[in-house]
Amino acid sequence: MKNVTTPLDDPVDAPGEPYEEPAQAGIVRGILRRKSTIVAGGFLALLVLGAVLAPLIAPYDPNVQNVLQRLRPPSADHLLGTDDYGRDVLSRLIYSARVSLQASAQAVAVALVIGLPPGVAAGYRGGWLDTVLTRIMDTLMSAPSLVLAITIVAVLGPGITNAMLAIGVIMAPRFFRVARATTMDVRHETYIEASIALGCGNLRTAVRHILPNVMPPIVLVISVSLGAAVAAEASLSFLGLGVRAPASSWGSMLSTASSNMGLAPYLVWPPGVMIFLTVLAFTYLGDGVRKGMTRSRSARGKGE
Amino acid sequence: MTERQQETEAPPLLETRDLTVEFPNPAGGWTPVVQQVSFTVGQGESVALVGESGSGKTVTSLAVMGLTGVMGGRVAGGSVHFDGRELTALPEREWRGLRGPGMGMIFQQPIRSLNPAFTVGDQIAESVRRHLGFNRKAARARAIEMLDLVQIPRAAERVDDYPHAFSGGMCQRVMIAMVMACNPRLLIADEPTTALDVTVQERILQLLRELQEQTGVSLLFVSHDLAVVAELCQKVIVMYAGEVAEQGTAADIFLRPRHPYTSGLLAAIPKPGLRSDRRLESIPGSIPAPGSWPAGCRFHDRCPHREPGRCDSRHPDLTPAGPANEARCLRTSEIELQGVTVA
Amino acid sequence: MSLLEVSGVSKTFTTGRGLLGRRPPRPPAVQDIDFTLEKGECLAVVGESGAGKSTLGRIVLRLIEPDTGKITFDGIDVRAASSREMRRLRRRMQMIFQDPYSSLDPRMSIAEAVAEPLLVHTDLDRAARLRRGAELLDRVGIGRRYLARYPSELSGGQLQRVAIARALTLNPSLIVCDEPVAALDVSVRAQVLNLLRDLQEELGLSYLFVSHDLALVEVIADRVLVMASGRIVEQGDVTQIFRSPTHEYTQRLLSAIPVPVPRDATGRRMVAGDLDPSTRPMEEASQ
Repeated sequence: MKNVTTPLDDPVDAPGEPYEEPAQAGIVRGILRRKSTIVAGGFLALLVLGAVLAPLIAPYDPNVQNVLQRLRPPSADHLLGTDDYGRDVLSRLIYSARVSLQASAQAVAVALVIGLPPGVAAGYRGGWLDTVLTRIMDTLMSAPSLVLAITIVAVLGPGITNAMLAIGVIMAPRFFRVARATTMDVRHETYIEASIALGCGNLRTAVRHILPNVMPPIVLVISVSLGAAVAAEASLSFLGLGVRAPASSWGSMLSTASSNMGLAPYLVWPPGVMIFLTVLAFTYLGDGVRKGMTRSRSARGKGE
Repeated sequence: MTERQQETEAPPLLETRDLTVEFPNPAGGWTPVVQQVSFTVGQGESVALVGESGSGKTVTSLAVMGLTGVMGGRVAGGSVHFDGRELTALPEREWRGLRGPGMGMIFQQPIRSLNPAFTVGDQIAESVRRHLGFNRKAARARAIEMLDLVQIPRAAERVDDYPHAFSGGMCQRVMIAMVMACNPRLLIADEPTTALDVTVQERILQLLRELQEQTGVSLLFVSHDLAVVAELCQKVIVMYAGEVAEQGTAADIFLRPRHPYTSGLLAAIPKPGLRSDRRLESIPGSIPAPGSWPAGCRFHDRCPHREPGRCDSRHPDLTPAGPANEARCLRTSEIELQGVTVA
Repeated sequence: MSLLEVSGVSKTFTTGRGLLGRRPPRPPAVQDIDFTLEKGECLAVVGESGAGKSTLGRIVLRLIEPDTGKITFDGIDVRAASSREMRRLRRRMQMIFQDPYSSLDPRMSIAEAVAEPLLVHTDLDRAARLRRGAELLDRVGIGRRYLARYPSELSGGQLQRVAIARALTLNPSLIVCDEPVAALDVSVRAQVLNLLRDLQEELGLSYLFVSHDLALVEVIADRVLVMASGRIVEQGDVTQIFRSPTHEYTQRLLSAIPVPVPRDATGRRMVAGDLDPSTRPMEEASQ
C-alpha cells in the first residue's frame, strides 16, 4: 500500500453502473410502458396529422354552401351528412381540428408565457416579489373562469385569438403555481447553491439550472392544459365568442348542431365525439407522462 | 483464544451458508449482489459486517431479516439458520413472529424510523402488545422500563413525548428501546451511529456494550467504519464486491490482516497521532458495482500485491490464513501485510 | 496581510412568523467569530452538528449574509462588494460541497459543468472551454472519457472529483471545503483527501476545511478552529489542539474519536505483540 498519490486514471472505473440508465431514456421508456399512453399519443398524432393535411384529405371545401343539400343525413356522398348551409360536415370537422388544436396551442403558449417565468421568479427570489405575484395569480384563480373569459373577450372583442388569449390568462395561475412550487424545491438543492458560489448571475442560475429541472412537472401541466383548452375553446365558440364564420371549430359546429337539434340530431355527434376524445387523450397522455416520470425517478433512487 | 473456541462449539445463534442474493437488472435478468456469504454469530457475540458501498453488507443483513423480497430482490441460494430454524423458505406469517421477539433491527436514520404521529411510548408499547401479548398497562410500564434501560433521563415523563422532541442520539436510543422491548436474541444494527455526532456516537456504542452485558443479546453490527467496529465487536467479517474477503477475530483482523483489502482499508483510516506526510494511504480505483465484478479475484485490479496471470484468472476461495483468519486471497501466505499502527 | 480576515461576524436566522405574527427568537447560528486565514494554509473548522461551522463557511463566501462583522478577502471588503464586484470575487473563492450527488446539476453533462465557470467569467470560445475542462478532469484523475456523461452515471468519488475540477477552473486562491469527503467510502475518501492535498501544494491554495471528523482534520489541517453553539471555543495550531487541548469541549471531542484498535479483556488497546501464538503469522499459516 504505497500508493500515496492519487492515480491519474483509475483502471477499474467501471464504465457506468448497471442499475443506472441515462435519465432521459428512462423517462421515455417509463412513459411508453403504458398502453393507454401509447393509444392516447397515437390518437393525438393522427389528429395533428389530419389537421396539417386537411386540404389533401378533406373531401370537399368546408365553406362551399349548397342550399339544395341542406341538413342531409350521412350518405355515401357526405359521410357525416351536411349542415344547415349544405356544407360537408366531415370536411368541416377536419378543418375544425386545425382551428381547435391551433387555438388550444395558442392558449397554452399564452399561459406558459404568463405563468412560467413569474412562477420561477417568485419561487427563486421569494420575499415581496413572491407575495405580490402570488396574490395576483390567486386573484386570477379565484375569479369564475367562464365569466372572466367572457369579460376579457367582451373588452378585446370576439374572435378566436382574443378568446384564446382569455383562456391563456385563465390557465396561467396553474403554470405559475407548479413552477413556483417546483422552483422552491429545486432552489434548495446544493447544485443551485454551487452555481451561485461559482459566480453565475441570477438569470443564468434561473435559466440554465432551475428551468430545466422545473420542466418535467410543467410538461405534465402542458399536456393536461391542452385538453382543457380544447374544451374551453369549444365552450367559447359555442357561445359565439370564439371562432367567427365562415371558419369553424368543433365548438361552433356544436352550436350549429344545437340550433338544428330537431331537424338534424346527427349533427351533434361528430364535434361532440371529437371534443370528448381529444380532451380524454390529452388527459391520458399527461397521466402517462407523470407516471413515467415518477417511475423512472424511483427506479433511479433504488439503484443508489 | 481458547475460551472463544469453546464458545463456538455451542451451536451458533445465526448461521448463513453460501447465501446468495440477487436483484433485478434493467435487462430483465437478475444480478447477484451478495454471493456465497457464510458466517456465524454466536450466542451473546458481537459481530461486525464491514464493507464499503456496494459490498453487499446491508443486503446481507436484510436477507437475515427476511426483507430481501420487500426490497425487490430474492434469495437465490444458500441458507440462513437462526436459532435452529431455516429462514430462507419461511412463510411471511411465521416471519412476523420472528421479527421482534427473535431479531430486531435499528437503522442509520433513527428519526425516519419512528412514526412522527405517535408518542414514543405508544410505539414501544404497540410492539410489546403485538409480539408479547402485554395488556395496555403492562405495555406502558414496559415502555418506561425500556426507556430507562437505554438511559433516557426522566423516562416516565418522556414516554409521552413525540419523536420530534428527541435529538438524533435520543431517537436512536428510543429505537433501541423499541427493538429491545421484545427481548430479541439478535440485534441487527445497520450503521446506527453514522448520522450522529462523535460524542453521541461514543455514548450509543457504550449503551450497546452495556445492553449486551445486561441482556446477552447477540449483535450483528453493519458498518463501513472500522474504527467504530474496533470499539465494539469481537468478530469481524470484511465484505468486498458481494463476498466475504476476510473474517476473523477483531484482534486478528486489525493487527494482522491476511487480505490486502483489509490491510488497505486499515491504512486508509486516519489514526490519531499519526500524520506522516499529511496524506492518507489510499486504495487506487473504485469499488466495482454489482454486475461489473472483475474476473479472478474481485480485488485484483486495485491490489498492490496482485500477480498477473494468476490473480486475474482464478477466483480464490475463502481459506484459513494466518493463525485465526479466513481470507479470500491466493497469495495470502506469500505476502507480508500491515495491520493497524497507532502512535 | 492575511488572505482572509474575519472579525466580529454574527448571524441569527429568523424563522417565519409564528401563529400570532411574532417572530420566535432563535439562538444565533454564529456569534462573534474572529479568525484569519493565510495564503497556502489549511484552516479546519470543527464541531458537532448545529455548531454553525457550515454557516460560517457560507458566510465567508457571502452565500449567507451575516448580520454584523467584517470579512476581508485579499484586502477587499467582501460585505461591501457590489453584486458585480462580488461575481468577480467569486472567481477567486470557490466551494466544494458535502454531497457530490446533489452538488452537480443532474441535467448538465460533466463537460458543461466543468466548463461553466469559464462561460460565466471569461470570453473563451467553446473549444477552448472544453479543452480546459478536459485538462482539469485529467488533473483530478478521472479522465476525459467522462466528459459526455451525466452526474447520475458517476460514482460518489468521481462526482466529488468533478466538483473539485469545477472549483479549480478559474484558479481560485481560496476554497471552502464543506465536509468534502464525509459522503464518500473509506478507500475513496483517502484518494480525494490526498488529491486536495496535492492540489493545495501545487497551486498554493488556501482551504477553509469544514469537518466533523477530527481524525481527518488532524491529517489535513495546519490550524484548527473548534466551534460549539455558534462560537469559537478554541483555536490554534493543529498539533497544539490535538496534543494539549485547553478547552474542556475540545478535550471531550478528542476523547470521543473512535480508534481503530481493538481492546483486550482489560480494556487496554492491543498491539501486534499481544497476539499469540506469535507475531509472525505467516509461519503459523504454513504449519
